[in-house]
Amino acid sequence: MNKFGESIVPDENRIEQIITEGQRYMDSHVPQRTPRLVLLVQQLRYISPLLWVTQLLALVLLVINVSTRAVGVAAAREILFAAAPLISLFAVPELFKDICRDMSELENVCKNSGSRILTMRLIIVGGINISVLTLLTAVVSGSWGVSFAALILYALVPFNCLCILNLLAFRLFRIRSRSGAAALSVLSAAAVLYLPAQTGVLAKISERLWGGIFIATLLILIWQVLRILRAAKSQGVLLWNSK
Amino acid sequence: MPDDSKLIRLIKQGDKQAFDTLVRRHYPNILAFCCRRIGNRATAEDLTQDVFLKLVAAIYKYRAVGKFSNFLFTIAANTCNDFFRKKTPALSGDDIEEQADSGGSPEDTLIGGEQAKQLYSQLRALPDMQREALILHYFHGLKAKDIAEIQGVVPATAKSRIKQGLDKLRKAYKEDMGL
Amino acid sequence: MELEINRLTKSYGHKTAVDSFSAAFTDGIYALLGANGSGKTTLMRMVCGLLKPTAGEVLLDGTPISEAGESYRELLGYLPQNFGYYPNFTGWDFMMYLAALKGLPKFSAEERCAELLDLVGLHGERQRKLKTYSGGMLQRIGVAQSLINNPKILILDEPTAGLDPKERAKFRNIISGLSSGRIVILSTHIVSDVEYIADTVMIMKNGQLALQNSSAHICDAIDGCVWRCAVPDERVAEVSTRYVVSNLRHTESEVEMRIISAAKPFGNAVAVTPNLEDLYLYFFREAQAK
Repeated sequence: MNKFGESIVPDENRIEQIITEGQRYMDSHVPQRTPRLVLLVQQLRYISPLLWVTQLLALVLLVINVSTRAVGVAAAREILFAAAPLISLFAVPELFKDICRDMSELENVCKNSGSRILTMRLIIVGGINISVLTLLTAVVSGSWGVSFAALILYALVPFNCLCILNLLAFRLFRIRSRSGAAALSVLSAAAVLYLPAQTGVLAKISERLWGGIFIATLLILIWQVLRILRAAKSQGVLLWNSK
Repeated sequence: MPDDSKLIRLIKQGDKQAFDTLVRRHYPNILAFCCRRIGNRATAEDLTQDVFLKLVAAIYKYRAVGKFSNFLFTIAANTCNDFFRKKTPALSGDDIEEQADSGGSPEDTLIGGEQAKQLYSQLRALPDMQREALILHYFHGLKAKDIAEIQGVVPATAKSRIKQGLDKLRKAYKEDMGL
Repeated sequence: MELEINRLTKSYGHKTAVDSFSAAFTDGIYALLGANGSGKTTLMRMVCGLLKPTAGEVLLDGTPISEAGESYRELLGYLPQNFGYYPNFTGWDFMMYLAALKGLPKFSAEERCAELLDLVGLHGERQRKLKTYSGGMLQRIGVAQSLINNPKILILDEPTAGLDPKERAKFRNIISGLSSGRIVILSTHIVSDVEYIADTVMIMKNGQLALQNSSAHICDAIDGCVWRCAVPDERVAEVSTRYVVSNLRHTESEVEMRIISAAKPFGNAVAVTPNLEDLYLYFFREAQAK
């Protein structure tokens, strides 16, 4: 009896009955869409260690270069221009790892669409690469007292070029294997590094022109990414069979 | 012991044990409210079951704005009000007294003391919203702003309902006592 | 629930993999029999929304699946013929990863994955890396992942490939148990896997639906065309080239052959009840003979 003179003692059987019914409902409950954050964290968990290794390697090599080379804007630009391809070496292979690992069919029939998963990977891979590039530029800028703004384009332009090349080649040659993806990345990185160095074109390009190249490559990259996302939304295993 | 918001988060993730804990935590209070509102134990148990099943259906869309207990009481109040709307209340104060005199064990009867019996019959004479406000305030210790949230009114209205209900109860008590 | 395939066609240049395939599915197990290259996998991919048809459409309760999108995929479970995994995935990682992609909240996912791994006999191996799994184990985990979201439409492409007889028997039992309230479409070229569990059998040849009937009546098409006869040893090779032979058994002096032929092949031939294997061989050998 409580202070009001009542005797309201719950019946354990009724409680059990409610719990059982409620849990049955929970079993049958159709899942809502996975929250974006949960999907992001999940994809982040399964990002290839190789991606992280290349970021770390680039950072280490950069630090070594910065501490051993003579200070100068030109040297700073060269270092960043060389670091960018290394950082982005596994960007596109990681993006399309479901195709390279034969997981795309399994992933693309899930409630969370292939395009959603791809978007998460774009955010993660792009975010990691751009963050590390920014960090490297900041390190060089800080260590050598060179303006950050003067340097960042020399990191972002080769990054854009490499991504554009990789995305284009993935579609053109319909890369489906891990070895193909890796080979493509290495070749693209070599092309981005080697050709400008051989032709000496780097030294001839003004800062203003670099700015223009950055904007142009950025627009092309955005266009490619949007195209891929649109293809992922429509029927078909991404670009590999779409007509 | 995890708090209500943690339990709700776990339930949304499919944790059945969290649902078990939540039900056990709030069942006595909700049952008591329904009993006081309806005046019949068996009906109150059925309605309490409805409350929790409605809760589990609503919980996936529930966003923690205000206290969870208020949310639960809102469901309970609405469930009881729906019950009254669908059926003419079968019980009068006499029925409650009959139940109390049924000779059942203390665990079976809703109310035991004479004063409590009298209080219940006087409560039942009040308008629904005043009765509900009084039950929530005096039996469940809720403040006017919580009652306002549950009843979907402004706090001033909730306060007014409590006051008016109390005034009527006092008057009825005096009349019964011949004062 | 009704899944309708309406004149579905898939062409790659001059080659037509699926040719105007039409069929309707309600609850039950549908066995799609066909030789390699008959278009089964292409058809299944289109039904799963993985491949864009050249023509035709797939409808669920009247709505094209291309429009239904997520609400269709919610009901779908699929086991592809070949699938991979990310490196360093354990069996548990694999299941939980796909459970999250299928929208299951964390606790529900854990409960469901444990239950399914137990069903396919892999609960004890769940912490092992997938690269250490045998072919049969990989196939079993493939079946398990197809059931994570308790699908109403289950598409299984060659689900028993790589399984030993005991595993195949277990698989048949699992599928039989699941078919109530579900559409199960499984493709295979192993007749014995579906002979006892399929409600409906469909034969696919050259991208087309060649024959469809309930499993009780599918063999009516070759009723009176299957013969048992005894043939001298030296004539076996000759008989084998002239007729479709579904089975032969050597006895002491001669060979007992099971022949599929519209006309009675020999005087001593006795007509026997055809089975699904006879039908399959008849369909696919007949094309070659022509």
